[in-house]
This record gives sequence, structure tokens and C-alpha cells, in this order.
Amino acid sequence: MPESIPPRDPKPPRKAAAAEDDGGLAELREILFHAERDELLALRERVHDFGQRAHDVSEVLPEAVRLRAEEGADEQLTEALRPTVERTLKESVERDPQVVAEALFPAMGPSIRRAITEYFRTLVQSFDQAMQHSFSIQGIRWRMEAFRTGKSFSEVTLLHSLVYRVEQVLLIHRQTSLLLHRVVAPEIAAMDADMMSGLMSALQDYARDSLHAEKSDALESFRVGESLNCWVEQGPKAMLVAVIRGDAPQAYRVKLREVLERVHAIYGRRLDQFNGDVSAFDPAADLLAESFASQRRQYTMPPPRPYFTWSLATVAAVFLVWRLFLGVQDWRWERFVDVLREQPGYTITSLHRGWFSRYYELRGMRDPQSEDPFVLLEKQGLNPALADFQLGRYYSLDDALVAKRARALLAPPPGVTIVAEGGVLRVRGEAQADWIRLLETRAPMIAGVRAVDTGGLLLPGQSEFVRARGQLAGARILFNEGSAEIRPDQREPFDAVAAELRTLDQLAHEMGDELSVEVVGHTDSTGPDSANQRLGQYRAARVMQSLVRAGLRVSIFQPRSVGSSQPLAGEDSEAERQINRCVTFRVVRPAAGAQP
Amino acid sequence: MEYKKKICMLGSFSVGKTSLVRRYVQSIFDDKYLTTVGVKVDKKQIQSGGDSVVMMLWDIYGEDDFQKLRMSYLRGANGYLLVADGTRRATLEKALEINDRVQAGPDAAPAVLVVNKADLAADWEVTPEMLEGLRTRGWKPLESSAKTGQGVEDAFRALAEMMLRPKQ
Repeated sequence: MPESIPPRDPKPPRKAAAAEDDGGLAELREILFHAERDELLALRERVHDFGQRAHDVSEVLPEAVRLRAEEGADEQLTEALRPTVERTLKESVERDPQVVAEALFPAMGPSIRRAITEYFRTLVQSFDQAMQHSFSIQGIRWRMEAFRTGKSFSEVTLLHSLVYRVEQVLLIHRQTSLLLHRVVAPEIAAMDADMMSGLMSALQDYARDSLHAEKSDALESFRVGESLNCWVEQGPKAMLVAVIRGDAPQAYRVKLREVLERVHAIYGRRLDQFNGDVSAFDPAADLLAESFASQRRQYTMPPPRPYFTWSLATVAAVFLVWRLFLGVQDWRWERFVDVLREQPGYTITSLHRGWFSRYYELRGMRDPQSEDPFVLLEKQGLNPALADFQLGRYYSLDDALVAKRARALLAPPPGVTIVAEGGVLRVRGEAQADWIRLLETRAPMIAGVRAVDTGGLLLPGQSEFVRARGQLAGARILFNEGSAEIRPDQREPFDAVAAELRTLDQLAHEMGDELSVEVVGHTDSTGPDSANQRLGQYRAARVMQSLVRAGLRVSIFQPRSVGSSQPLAGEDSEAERQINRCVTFRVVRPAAGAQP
Repeated sequence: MEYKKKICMLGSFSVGKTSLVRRYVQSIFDDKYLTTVGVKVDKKQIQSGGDSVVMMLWDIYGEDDFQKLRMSYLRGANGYLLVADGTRRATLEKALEINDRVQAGPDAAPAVLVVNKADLAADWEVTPEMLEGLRTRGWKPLESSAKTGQGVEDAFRALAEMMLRPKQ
């Protein structure tokens, strides 16, 4: 039941005389504000009704939360809700973890995958970087630094490749200088931040006092060594100290200020009422972690260079072609060595080409009379400029070379041929007597000459003499049976014989000899031998006489008869007998160039 | 529950403040901070009635004729350790005088009085009567010795007790 609300008097009655007026006023008010009074009563009822109030709040709550969220930066609502939400979640997990697990499942998978991907990406990147650093001059320098300072190589690499990195952030209570909370970047060795906070505050005071600075002034930053910086951001109730390795950009100070402002906004009351219980600031960890920042030096891996690959391929191709070319060349030179080995006067022991050389070295021996190796090279189509002949000299016993050597040493006159057969030097042709003597003395001394055969050698004119002698040997002057008269039809053979005899006489004279020719008379077998002997004698004498008459010297002739004892043909027919009735000639002197 | 408290050690020059705590604290700073910056911050952790108390000990350069106490170092202090030298009566008076000054300022906080150099009892100028006199005025002076370690832990514990559970 709603309480009944008595009509309120604006003022208590002061005088009894006024009571009457008041009664009238109440009546007037009742008349005037009757409707409002009912409304007021209804409102009051509504305010006091818990169920109704809850209903009312539930209607505006979503809208209120939305409005609050839209206002942005203010995180008071989040902070206010956090303990409740956290507790609810905790209790829910404790009661039945499955519910939360199922709710989180769709979100967990992708984020785990992303985390793993990210992890591997970082791993590959740092591996790349480590590789890059390991194999560079800089890498070696860093390695030496690591060795010198006792740090690990990765630590040194990290320090050098960082532009800056916030290593620690301290939240310090301004009033007491006590450390409220501290966050440390991974892999950073934590120092005792409590003591540091104290001294940091003391330093602030010290600096301010020493320099007589304003109370609001502060030591904003200081630098230690080459790379360690401390940035201090002061707020009215707390201060933030960031320990930074390297040089952070000025924008980072804005970031620090923002974080500090939010700390003040959320923890303002706790900072005021701080009694030493630092656990109240544990939730600030996330907020402080936001002030972590770092920037790495961008190491751009050089892009893959196609021209590098191409040049490598070209080099490989050129090398291959070059090796192939050399292979073919080697083969051709080996064939050339085979050719040389078949050549008389060459003994090749080795062929060699250096690994990166174009030149071929041939070792062995060579007869000076053998064919010029450079000429042979050209015949094989090889470049003589690439040849390096290291050939010792020797005398070959090969017949061709023995003959060649003899020809070179003896300088035979034109028409004389020299060949060697099994070491026997055979000399043929027409030569002066002087040269023949020279040949006979020198030839046996030539290397490879075992004997000299001069049988085929003629003095000048001897060959003509031999020819004419041959002609004469075949000539016949024919006779009739029983007659010693030269027949008219034998005039032509007779003249030919006379001419040959004149030549022979002349040549014999030139050879310093005296011509001697037998004139032989022949008969057929008809008649008795004595008669035939006589007839042969007549026939020879008759021809000799005619020849002398033709101008030939009588002293060169030796007539004789063989009768029918040496027939030139059979006696079976008249034709054969006719052949046997004749005169023949035989040169007795000179014997030079005697018939074989 | 873990608490952090700022404790300032006050007293005349060379009464043994620094020596008193040297063996009982964690320290990362060199003593030379005292003469340069005028303060050295050390840390002492003790257990008091189930609570853990991290005491940040501000060892403040002893006041003498040449250098006044840098009051800014006292800002926000949760407790004081007043140190006097038993062999010099003047240091006790100085400690009490400093205390008066501090307690009158914005950083008033519980204080424990320690009379140091108990190992040199024979040379003491501070008499038992004087200490008795102090007790009647509400002090509970503790005798300590940096040399033997006597009374040091007791002093810290007493201070922690006073800070955590102040008697109304």
C-alpha cells in the first residue's frame, strides 16, 4: 500500500491568528492543485515500487549504455562493469566450462590460426634477418660485439636493428613516490623498479630544488649512455616513466600523456585514497601495456635479380660451349697425332693441353727430312698457332726418308732418280762422271744407306749409244740364195745401218773409246758347211765394203762368218730360209751401259 | 595483503642511519648517492600480522650545520625512523626536533625512535633517565646497534605495526 502523503505546509504556523487563513489556503490549494497532487502521488508510488523501478531502468538501460559508448574516450563504464563481468565469467567457467568454450569456439580457431601464422611469419623474417646479418660484414662485426660483451648474437642483432623500443613502463604514485605498477617488455631483464621509482622521484625533486624550478616543472627526460632514455610524464597524481632503448619519436610522448590521462580518469579516486595497497592498480597493466611501442629499422631484402640468374646461366652456357669446343678440338688434335705417327720420320710420345689453355704441346722426335709438321697441321685444318712442338731430331731408317736424305745430300743432276729399297740406294739416270764419283764416295756414308746400286746410271751419251746399239742389233741385210750381192730392195735397211753406225762411232769417240763392230755373215742350211762358211764370209765382207764405201772407217769392222751354224730362224720353209740368208751386227766396244 | 610504504630515515649527520640498514636491505644504489643527491632509496620487506610490507627506505642525508633537511624528500612519507646516536646527546635532541618539524607539516606520519650504537653503551651520553622521560611522553625508544644488528628488525616491525594498525 502506498503511503498517504499529508499535504505539506510550506511554512509552519507562526501565529494562532493565522490558523484560520491557513485552513482557507489548504482548501484553496486542494481546489487548485487537486490534479497535480494525484499525479505526484502516482509518481511517488512508482519511485518506491522496486519492481516498477527495475522495469523503468530496464527500459532506458540499453539506450543509456549505447549513449555512453558513443561518447567515446571515457572508459568509466567499462571500468565499472569490468569486475562484475569478470566475476560472472569466472563463475560461469567454474560452474560449466563447456558453455564458455562453446561460445568462444568460433573465435578461437581463427585467432589461433592467425597467431600461428604470425609466429611463423616473424620466425621466417627473423631467420631471414639473421641470415642477412650472419653473412655480412656488419654481421661479423655484431658477432664480435656479442663475443666482446657476452650478449647473445640475437640480442645484439635486435639492439642494432631497433630504432627504439620501450622496455619498461613504470606507474609511480606522485605523493609517495611508490611504484604502483610496472610492465616490462618480453625478454628484458627486469631491474628493481621499486627502488628505481623512489630514486626517480627523488631525482625529480632534486632537479627541481637545485635549479629552483617551478613546482609544476619536471625532469622530463634523461639519457644514459648511447641508447638508453628515460621519459617522464607527470600527472597531478601519478607519473609514468618509460625506459626506452633508442630514440623514440616525439609522437610517443603524446601517447604517454594519453595513457596517463586515462589512468587518472579511471583510477583517480584510488590514487587519492592510496594507502600502500598496490594490488588496486593491477588492472592498469593492460592500459600501461598500450604504451609499449617499438620501431624496427626496415631491412629490405634486395629483390630477386633476374639479370643475375641470366648472367649465371650465360656464364654456364658459355662454359659449356667452351668445354664442348675444347672437347672437339682435343679430338681433332688426337687425330692429328695419329696422322703424325703414320708419317715417316715422326715419333710422338705425348699430346698435352693445360686445363685452361688453348695450346697443345706435342712431344717426341722428328727426322729433319720428314714433312713439315705445320704443313701437315694446315692439311688437317688445325690452327698452327696453337701448336707447341717439342720435337727432338733423329735420323729415320725409313726408305723414303733415306732416299730423301740422299737426294738432299747428293744433289743429283736432272734425270737421275734415287730410290732406297731396304737400305740399298738405287741410282738411275744419266750423270757426269764427276758426280758419279762423288756418289760412289759419299752415298755409303749417308745414315740409313747400306749399299749403293749404280747399275742404272749412265754417262751422258751412253743412253743414245745404247739405243743405237739396240737398233743395230736388230738390223738385217738380206741376200738371195747363194749370192753375196746386196739386193736393191735392201738399200733402205743398209742406209739405216750406216746411219746408226755413224752415230755409234761418233758417240764412242765422245766417250773416249774406240768403236768395234762385228759384221756377221749368215747362210741357210742348203749346201755344204764349208761352202756356207765361205758364203757367209763373202756376205760379211761385201757389206763391210759397202759401208766403208758409204764413209765409215774400215778399222771399226771385224767381219766374220758363222755359216749356217747360228740360224736366226728354222729351215722349214723358204721364208724361214730367207731370214737365215743375212748379215747382222754386234757392237763389241765400248761396253759402257752394257746390256743387262 | 601486500602494502608498499615510504619510510624516511631521519637524524643528524653520522648517527649511523646508513649503517643501520645496510645489512638488512636490498640495495642497488651506491652510498655516494647520499652525498650527491642527498638521498638513497633502499628496500626492506617484512611480514607484519599476516601482511607483507614493502618498505621503501629513503635514507636521507643527515642534517647538520651545513645542510638542512630537504623537506621535499619527505613528501608522502608513511612513516619515519628517527635515529639518534647514544654517545651524543645532541643527536637525540636533534631527532626530536626534526620530528616536531615533520609532524607539524603536511607529511605527518607515525615515527619510531631508535637510539643507535648500543654496542658502545659505556660511552653513552644518553642516560636511561632520559629514555624513561621519553617513554612518559609517549615514545617507545628502541636501542639498536648497526654493529651487532640489535634492535634493527624490531624497529622496522614496530614501524610497520604503527602504519598498518594505527591506535586511535
